[in-house]
Amino acid sequence: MTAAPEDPPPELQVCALVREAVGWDRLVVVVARDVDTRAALRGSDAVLEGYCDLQQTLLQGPSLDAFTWGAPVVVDDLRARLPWPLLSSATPPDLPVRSVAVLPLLVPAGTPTDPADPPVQPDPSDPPGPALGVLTAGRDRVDPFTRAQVSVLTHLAAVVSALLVHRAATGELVAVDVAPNDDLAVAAGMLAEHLGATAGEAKSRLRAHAFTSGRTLNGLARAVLDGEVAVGDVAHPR
Amino acid sequence: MDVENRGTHASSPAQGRSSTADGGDADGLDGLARDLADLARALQSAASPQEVLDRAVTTAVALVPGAEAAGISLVRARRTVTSAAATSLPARRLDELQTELGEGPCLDAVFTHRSTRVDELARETSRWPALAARAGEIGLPSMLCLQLFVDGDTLGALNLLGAEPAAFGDASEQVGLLVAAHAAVAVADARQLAHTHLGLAHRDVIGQAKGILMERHRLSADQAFALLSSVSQDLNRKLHEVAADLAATGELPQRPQPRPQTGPPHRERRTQHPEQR
Repeated sequence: MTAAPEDPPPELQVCALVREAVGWDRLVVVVARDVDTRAALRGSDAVLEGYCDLQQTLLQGPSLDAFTWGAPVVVDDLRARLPWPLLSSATPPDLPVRSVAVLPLLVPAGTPTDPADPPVQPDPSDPPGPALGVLTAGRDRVDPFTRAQVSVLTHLAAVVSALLVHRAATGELVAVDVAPNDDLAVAAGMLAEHLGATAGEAKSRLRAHAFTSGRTLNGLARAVLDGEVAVGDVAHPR
Repeated sequence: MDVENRGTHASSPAQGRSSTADGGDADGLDGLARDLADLARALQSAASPQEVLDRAVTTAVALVPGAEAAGISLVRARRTVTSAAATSLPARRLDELQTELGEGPCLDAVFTHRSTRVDELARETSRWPALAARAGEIGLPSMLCLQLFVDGDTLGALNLLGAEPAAFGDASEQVGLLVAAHAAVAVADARQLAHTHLGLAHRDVIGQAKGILMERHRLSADQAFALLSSVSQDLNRKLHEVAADLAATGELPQRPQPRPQTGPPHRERRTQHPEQR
C-alpha cells in the first residue's frame, strides 16, 4: 500500500476506515525511537501533535506512559485531576481536546519468519515488547472511550504498526512521511556547537529553556531556526 | 558420514524434552513448556536486538540437552559468517573458521535444512575437509545447527556445540527446534523494530550535523545539507555516517587530499577534541 505524496500516509488512511465505528475528532500517529527522537506522521492532527509536544517537553503524560509501558492509556477528561501534575498545570485552558485514548504501537507479534510457518498467537499475559510509537485519538467533548472502543483501537494500532514496520524497512516511511520534521535535531546541533557540548546536553538545555519560556520543545526549536530566539540566549539564559 | 540433514519442522511440546533420546515424562514436558513460555516472555521484553540474541543463546544452552555452548551466526552473501551472539569462545571460533575457510554447515546445509546435526566435526573430511582438519581449534566436537531465518543470501542460524561426540540426540533436536522457533520470531521482531528506529536515528543525526554546520559556518539549512551531501559523495560514504562522525567528533570527515611532497601533514582544528567535550 503506497500513498501518493498528496494523499495521507497509508497508516492514516487505514485509521480513517474505522473512524466512524469508534468516533473521534482528532487523531495523531507518532513514530518514536525514544522520547526525543520522534515524529508525527504527515497529516496527523496539529492540536493533538502539539499536546504530544507538550508531553515531550515535560517528560510526562499519557503518551509517554503508553509508549513506556506498552499499554493503552485512557483519559476521560483532560481537565479533571490527572496523575501528571506538571502537564495539567501547563496544558493551555483552551485546548479543545477533552477525552483521549492513547495506544502503544508495538512490534507486530507473531510475525512468521518463514512463509511456511504458522503465525504465533500472542499470549495476552505476555509483557509487551518495545514500542514503535503511539496512536492517540481525541474527542472535543467529555465522552470517555469505552472498553469496546479501546479494543477496536488496539486492533487498529496493530495494523498501523504492521504498516509502519513494512514501510520503515523500505525507507519510504522516514523519507516521505516524517523527514521534514527535524527542527529539534537541528536546533540541538546548533546549540551543541555553540556550547561545545553533546547533543544530549543541548537537548536538556533546550528543554529547560522551553519550560521556563512557556514553549514546547519543538516550538522552541522552530523559534531558534526562525531566528526569533538566539542560540546564545538558550545557551546562556539571562 | 555422520551428518544428518533433517528438513523436519519444529515439533510440538508434546514430543518434548528429555535427557534421554525419546523418553519425556509428564513432569519433563510441563517443565519444558514452562521454560519455553519463560523464554518467549524474556525475548519479547528484551530492550534491544542484541539483548534478544544474548538471551536466546544463553537459554538455548540451558534448555537443549547436550549443549555446552551456543552462538547465533549471521551469514551474508553465503560467504561471511559473523557471530551475532555467543556464550563462549568456541561458538565464535566456529564462525571465524567458516569465514576463513569458506566452508561449513552455515554456508550450505543450514540454508536448506531446518536442522543439521554433526556428530563429530573432525570426521567430516568429505563434506568440509578444511574445517574438519581444524576442528580441534573449536574444542567442542559435535554440533547442532538450527535455521532461524533465510532472506535471500542472508541466513540466521542458532548453533549449539556439544562437549562430547554425538552429544545431540533426537530430544536435543526437538527442543532445539522449539527454542529456535521462539528465537526466530523474537529476532524478526527485533530486526523490524531496529529498521524503524534506525530511520529516525539517521534523520536525527543528520539534523544535528546540519545544526552544527549552520552554527559553525553561518549556513542556511539547505547549505548545510548540501555541504554534508557533497562530503558524503566525495568520500563515497552514506550521508548518515558522515553526519554521525561530525556529531560525535565535531569534525567533518576529511575529503581525500593530494599527498604533500615534503613535510609533516598539517590539519587545522576548528573545534575542541571530542575528549574535551
